[in-house]
Formats: sequence, C-alpha cells, structure tokens
Amino acid sequence: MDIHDDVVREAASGDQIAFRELYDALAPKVLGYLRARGVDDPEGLTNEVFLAVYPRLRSLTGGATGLRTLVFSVAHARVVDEARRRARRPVSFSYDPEYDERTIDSAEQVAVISLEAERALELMKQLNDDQRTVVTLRIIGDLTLVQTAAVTGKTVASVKQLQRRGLSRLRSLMVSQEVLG
Amino acid sequence: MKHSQLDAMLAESGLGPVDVEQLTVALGPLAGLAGVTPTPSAGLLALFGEEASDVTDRDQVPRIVPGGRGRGRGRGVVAGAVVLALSGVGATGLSAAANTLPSPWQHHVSDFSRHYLPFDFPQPPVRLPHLARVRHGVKLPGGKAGHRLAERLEMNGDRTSRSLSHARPEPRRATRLIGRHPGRGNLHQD
Repeated sequence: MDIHDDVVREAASGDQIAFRELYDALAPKVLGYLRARGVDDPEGLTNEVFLAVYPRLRSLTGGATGLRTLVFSVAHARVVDEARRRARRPVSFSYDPEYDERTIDSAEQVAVISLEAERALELMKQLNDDQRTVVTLRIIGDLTLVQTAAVTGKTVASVKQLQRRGLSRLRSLMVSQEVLG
Repeated sequence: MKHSQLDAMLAESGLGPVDVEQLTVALGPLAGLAGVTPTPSAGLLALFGEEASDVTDRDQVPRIVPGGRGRGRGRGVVAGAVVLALSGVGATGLSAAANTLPSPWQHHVSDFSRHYLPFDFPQPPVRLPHLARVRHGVKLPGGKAGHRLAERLEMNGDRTSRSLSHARPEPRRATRLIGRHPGRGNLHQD
C-alpha cells in the first residue's frame, strides 16, 4: 500500500483515520523487519514504534518519504537497543507453564513464514550486523538507498558498499551450498 | 510480488545476471514477512479513535512473562481457601462426634446428620429435670433411656406419656402447649 503525502499531512494535524491508514500501510513492513532481525516480541515492538512515532508527526518533514525514514529509524533503534540489552545481560530461563500467562492463541499472531523465507533468513545470519541491517531494510522495509542511509545514520556510499558485500557473501554461500549438495 | 527495492539493490550491486537471478529467487520470499498487519494495541486504538475489542487488545497477545505468577498465585489462593474450609468442616465434625460443640450448634449438626448423612452425630445433652417439669410433665427415667425419651418428646411435642410404655405419668398440670401434631389431635390441654 503506497502512502500519499496528503494522508501524512492529515495524520500530522491529528486526523485519527489518516493515522490508522499510515499504520495499516507501514506496520506490516515494520513487523517483517523486526521479525527478520530476531527481536523477542516483534508485534509488541511494532506497537511501540508507532506509539513513539505519533507525537513526532507534527514536526515531520518530507511527506511520505520522511515518514518511512522516521518509522524505520525508530524501529532500527529498538533493534539496536535490544541487541545491546542482550549483550549486557543475557537472560535464559527454563520454560515453566505456571508462568505462561498466554490466554488466547490469535491466528494473527502466529508467524506464518514460508520455507523459502526461513532459508533466506538462515542465509542472512551469515552476514555481519551492518550488512544484514541494510539488506533487510531494503528488501522488507522497501526503503530506497537514501532512506536506508538516513535510517542507519550512514552515508549512501557506505550503504552501497555494505549491500554489495552482503549480496556477494550471500551468493558465495548459495554456491557453496549447491556444491556441497 | 513486487520486489522493487530488491531489484534496485541487485542492480546497484554490480553482480552478473545469473547471480542476480539466483539472489532474486533466494531473497524474494523475505518480502513475504511483511504480509501481516499486526493487531494494534489498546493505546494505538485510542489514537485511531477506535475501541479495543476482546480480540484486538494488545494485552491479549500471547507473551511469556518470566517471574509472573498471575494464574499461579490465583490457584494458590483458591487451594488455600479450600484447605481452610475443609479443615473447618473437619474440626466441626470432630467436635460434633465428641458432642463437645455448644448445645445449639450440636443440635443443628445432629439434625443435619440425621437427615442428610449416613451416620448421626449425637444430640446435645438434655437438661432432663427442667425439661420434664416444664414441657412434658412426665418424669423420665435416668440414663440413656431417659435421653432417648426426652428426644422423642422433643420431636413429637407430645406431653402425654401413654404411648410410651416405659414412661411413668405424673399428675397433669395446667399447661397449654402450642402446636398440633398431625394425626394426634389437639395438644392444647387445660
């Protein structure tokens, strides 16, 4: 679903329906990105991203492009925060059904990932974090080169180099897997 | 499915057509991860101007919360209450069996057991002299026989002892009894 600048403008002026439209257009991509990055609670984090974006709409510039950059900047920051939190204090605990407070099993919350997508995610794990970030933002976030550079805080040239090296690495892995059979 | 940015990225990478084709096949499915619109939280629904339903409330999203004791604590409270209740019932039963409850309670427990349980709890001890003088005008024998007679007199409300072969009648007193036993005529006597 494409986003139009006037919808962004209406949402920024407080139009609730317009904000809902923006959510419907971008939330699936944010969710997909967070899932690909392996966060613990992609649905919850997606909600947090849009709750964080809402108060910043009034000062937003750049229309739909600016909105995409803002949304994925917040999402990317959440991913980085979680990775840092895990690195500082890895948490592991055994599953105890007594503490499992799940009440319903919503079909919408079940991650239906195709076999091919799983294979792709496994391949992506072989990339370094920056390469994986760039490739994921481009493919799943559907961000342009410029938008990806803005989200990651890198230059366009750096992003181009990262994606080229990442794709080359992926191709090598695919060839070696074919050779090994 | 549109792979506009994947195509653009592959084009920017400088890879050959075969590699581009293979990577398109391998990475294209990643775009499918962006196919589901997540359920908005209650907070977001409020910003949309919508009401949270049972299905769309974020709190309903299954999450494992380490250290949480929601339902576990609730179950513990219920189990504790059941144990206390059973303890209370058990203690009451023991006291009733030993005939050590306060008289009114013993009476109620005994009645209950007689009607609803396969066994009987004993009746509270009867103050025989007072009972015989005021209510029934019958001098009752002592011991267990007197107890049983007193019970029957209390149940039937019958001050006449003629139907009770083991009771010795006393001179009638000017008493008026309230109540009518079906089939036994008027109990009022002057």
